[in-house]
Parts: sequence; structure tokens; C-alpha cells
Amino acid sequence: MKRRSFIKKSSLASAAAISIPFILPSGRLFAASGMRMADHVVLVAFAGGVRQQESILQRYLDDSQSYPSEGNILYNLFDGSAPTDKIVYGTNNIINGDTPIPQILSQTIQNQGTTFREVNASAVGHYAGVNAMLTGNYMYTQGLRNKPTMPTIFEYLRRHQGEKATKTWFIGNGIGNSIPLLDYSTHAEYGASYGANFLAPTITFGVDGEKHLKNAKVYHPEDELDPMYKMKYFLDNVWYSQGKALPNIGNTEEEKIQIKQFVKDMFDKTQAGTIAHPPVSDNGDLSTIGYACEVMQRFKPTLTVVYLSSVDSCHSNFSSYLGSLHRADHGVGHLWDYIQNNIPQMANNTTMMVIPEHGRNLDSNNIVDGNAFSGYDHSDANSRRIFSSIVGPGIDSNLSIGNENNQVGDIVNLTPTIAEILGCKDDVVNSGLVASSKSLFDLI
Amino acid sequence: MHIFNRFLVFIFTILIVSSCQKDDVVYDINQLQSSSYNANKNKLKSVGQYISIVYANLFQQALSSNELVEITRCIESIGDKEVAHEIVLSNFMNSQDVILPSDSLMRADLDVFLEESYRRFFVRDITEAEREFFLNFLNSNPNVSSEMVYMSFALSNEYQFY
Repeated sequence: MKRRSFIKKSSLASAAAISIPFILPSGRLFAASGMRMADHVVLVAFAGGVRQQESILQRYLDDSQSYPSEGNILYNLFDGSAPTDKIVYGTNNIINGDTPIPQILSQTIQNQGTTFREVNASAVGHYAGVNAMLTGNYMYTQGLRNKPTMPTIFEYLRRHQGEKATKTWFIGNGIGNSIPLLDYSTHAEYGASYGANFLAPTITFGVDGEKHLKNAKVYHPEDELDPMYKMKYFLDNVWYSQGKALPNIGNTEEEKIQIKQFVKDMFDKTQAGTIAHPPVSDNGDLSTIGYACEVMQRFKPTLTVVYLSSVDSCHSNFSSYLGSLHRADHGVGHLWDYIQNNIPQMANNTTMMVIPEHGRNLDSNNIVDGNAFSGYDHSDANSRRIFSSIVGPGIDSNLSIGNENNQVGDIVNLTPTIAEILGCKDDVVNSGLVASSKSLFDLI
Repeated sequence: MHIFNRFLVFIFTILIVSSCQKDDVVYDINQLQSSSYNANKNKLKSVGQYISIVYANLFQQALSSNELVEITRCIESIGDKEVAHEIVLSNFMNSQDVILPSDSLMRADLDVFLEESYRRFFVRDITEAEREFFLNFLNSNPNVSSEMVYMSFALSNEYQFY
């Protein structure tokens, strides 16, 4: 009799469990209806301000220093021959920068995917540009040092697709330019609880981190962390009854343990020299790329945003800018190669997008570097010109859209594009919070 | 007669004592207990304030300005602040200079330990409900150390406010 009762009850419980649907944080049942083009997106903010002239237009010194040397210094991204005269962007051999870094990809990103050659980016500040990239909005009503007022793509993804916090990562080259603020917005319907995990590995695993984070204890999950958290949660519950809540991106206890273990492991790998850095890793961007590879290897994120910024040296050192551009291309080549060859769960199932946050001026400033090259700021109409490359499953290969005389696309199309790839474009557009309902695919 | 005299002396003493009592001045404003429940904390500490204060609480000395900048940068480099704080604090706990009461001292008088912990971290008195929870919890979990209790206080949300 007892057995019969047990079977009856367990059958009812099973039926109930099956029939009660999963409720997403957005309050909707089940997952988004949109088909995913890929399960993972990696967005490389090829940032710091990149002129079209030295990047996609491949004019090297010809269109910046009045020196007749043209050629392609981003040969993992674009097809085209490298310059042959006055090479300053490589590694140091006989003279500074005279040895270009060997190409990583046998087939360029341009060849494998779709390139939007001339895209508009109206916000010509670093923070404003990346903000526009991640929110699909221009930040007309907010200043620097403020979190975005409109939801980021991380928040759309987590709210409407039910993604865990460790499935969205924002990895920055440093903590300047208010970059850490871009992990979530202050929007009332989204906000911290849908935010991404931010990491600035050059600091976390750099000199400061070595000194203040490396020797952290890893508490035993059951014997130490469990009672510790129980006491903390009691204190927090008492506080909530009278006090204010703190922003929390919602990593579960398990996810927090995973992140702490990741940090510990990265210190070990850094010490052992086994971080997945690119073959050449001599600046902050390339170091950041190496740790981004480790994050992807460990967490297999649905969305990873990698923010590079070394090219910002262009204000005062054009030679350094060229070197950083060349290294950013090397980093992108390594990232794509690493995903395809070292992370089986993401290989052939990842879309990568590469896009600067804004361009740079047409005319130089008065600052001259050691090679007598003039620097460039970012404030005029030329600063609003950028390119965008997309590669991955379902993306047309070797397709070029637009040209110097025909601008197609805007940086605010990026958020709907990522949403479309990950199957939640309708949710993003229907939120009414993005400046454009069109993805870059809609413009082809 | 003797009893009557003693009674008169008693009455006389009472009258003198009561006649000397001064009335409390009342200014018609609400009385506030500075160490009351939550102690009216409503401002979020900055990262720098949080680190300076927790360092002073754990090491009984001030943090150098260089280290303050370095630790602040470390915390800003990790998005989940709870994780960042836990890593920084557990790094503190690995230091030989951290000043913690021994577990035996804590267990010797839990009441005093809890009262001192609440004053040290929350700058307020413990409530009876809180005392009851902690006494029950610590008595039923004999392996919980003073370090774990201090970590829970230092990681709590109330400690983020002032």
C-alpha cells in the first residue's frame, strides 16, 4: 500500500515538474523564440580610436604623414599586401618596430566573413563609443563616470534568455575611461541583477593583483564558506529590513566559487608562463587577449566583449599607434584561432565581431613623435568613420558592404545584430530602448 | 518611640534626597540613540573607505596610501564586488599581522565576543534577536572560527554603509 502511494505521489510530482514551465527572469515562459545563428558571440571592441586610413583603407603613412608608403598592417583582418617601406609597427630587431609580426590566420577575417567598410559612429569619445556599441544608443543625456542609462546587451541577454552571470563577460584592458561601468546599466527594468562579469586582467593579474590578490585563501566550500555565508546572509536579511540593497550581478554561490578558483588558477598559470597569450604579447591589449582566451576556455560564455585600447597612444605617438594597431590585429587573429582550435564547445559555433568605437581626425595635431610622425586626436567628421567585420556560422564569406562614398550601418546597429545572432532581437527591439531596430544583417 | 524616631529619620531622608533631584531638560526634539539598530547608516562607503576601514578593523592600524590605491584598483578590476571583497579579505586573513581573537577566547564568552564584534564592525549594539541567532548558530557549529565570523561581518551589506 505504501509503495502504491509512493508511486502515485511521485508520478504526480513528476507530471507537475514537467508541466510547470521554466519562468525566465523577464517573466516569460521558456526561452526566446528566435533562432540562434550561433551559441556564442565574441565582440572585440577594436577600440582606442582607429582611423579608416591606416586600417581598412590600407594607406599606412601615405594618408597621414605625407610619405608615399601604402599597405596593409592588419593582415589577419583584411586582404592586402603589407607596406614595404619605413616599417615601424613590428617588433624590435635592428631598429624599433622594423620586424612585422607573422600572420596567424591562413585566411583573413575579411575572406571568411562579411565586412562593412564604412560605418557611422557619431559618439567620438571612448566611453561614449563603447557605450553606444553595447546599448544600441548614443549617450546624449549622461556624462562620463556614470553607468549607462540604457540597458546593455548583457542585460538583454540575461533577462530575456535567462543566461547565468558567468555566461556574459566584459574583459577590459584596464579600468580607465570609466570602462568598468559598462557591465550593466541603471535602467529600472534591467540593471545590476542582469549585469556581466567584468574583469581587467592586466590589473587583477598584474603587479597590484600579485601583491593583494594572489595569496587569497580558497575557503573550503562546505566547511568554511557555507557557515560564513549563512552568517552573512543572516546579517544581510536583518539589514534589508531597514537598510538599502546593494547592486549585485547575481553570480550564484557556485559561480562565485568558480570565479575565485579561476582567479587562483590564473595566478598559477601566470607564474608558470602558460596563459594562452598570442605568440607576441608585448602590450596590454595582447595580454588582455590572452586572459580573454582563458575566460572563454573556462566559462564558454554566450557573450564575451573584449575591450582593447592601446591604439589611443595616437594622440602623441603615431608610431606607437601603428604598432598597437598591428598588435590588435595579431590579437584578433590569435583569439579567432584559439576559439577554433582550442575550445571545441565554441569552435564553429561562435560569431566574432570586430569594430572600433570611433575613428580619428582627418588632420593631425601638432605633436610629433620620435619618427617625426604627427599625432591624431578624435573630434572631427573623420572620427565618425569606422569599419565592422563579422565572421561565424551563417555569415556570408568574402562579402564587402559599402565603401568610402557609401556609408552603410551605424554603431547602434551592433546591439540588435548581437541580439539577432543570439536569438533575442525581437525582445531587444520590442523593449523600445534601442535607437535602431535594424541589425547590420538588415542592411545587407 | 524608638521605631517612631527611625520612621521620622527615614521620611526625612527621602524628602531630602527627592528634593535635591534636578528635572531633566526636555527640548521637544526626538531622542536618538547613536548606537541604535542600524545606527542610521544610509551612505554607501566608497571602495577606498571600505578598504581603509576594514583594514583598520583587522590590523588595528591604518593602511598606507599606496596600498589603498593598489587595493582599490584590484577591487575595480573585478566586476562582482562580493567576489572581489572576499578575495581581498581572505588575502588579509593570510597575513601574519592580522589581529583576531583566538577561537578559544571567542568560545569562552560568546556574549562578549558578539557584542564587541557588532561594535567593531557595525558601530552599534547587538539586538536580542541577533544575539539569539548567533548564540544558537555558534553553539550548534563548533567548528566556526572567529575568522569566519569576522569575514561574514566584513562581507555583510550593512558594513558597506555608514
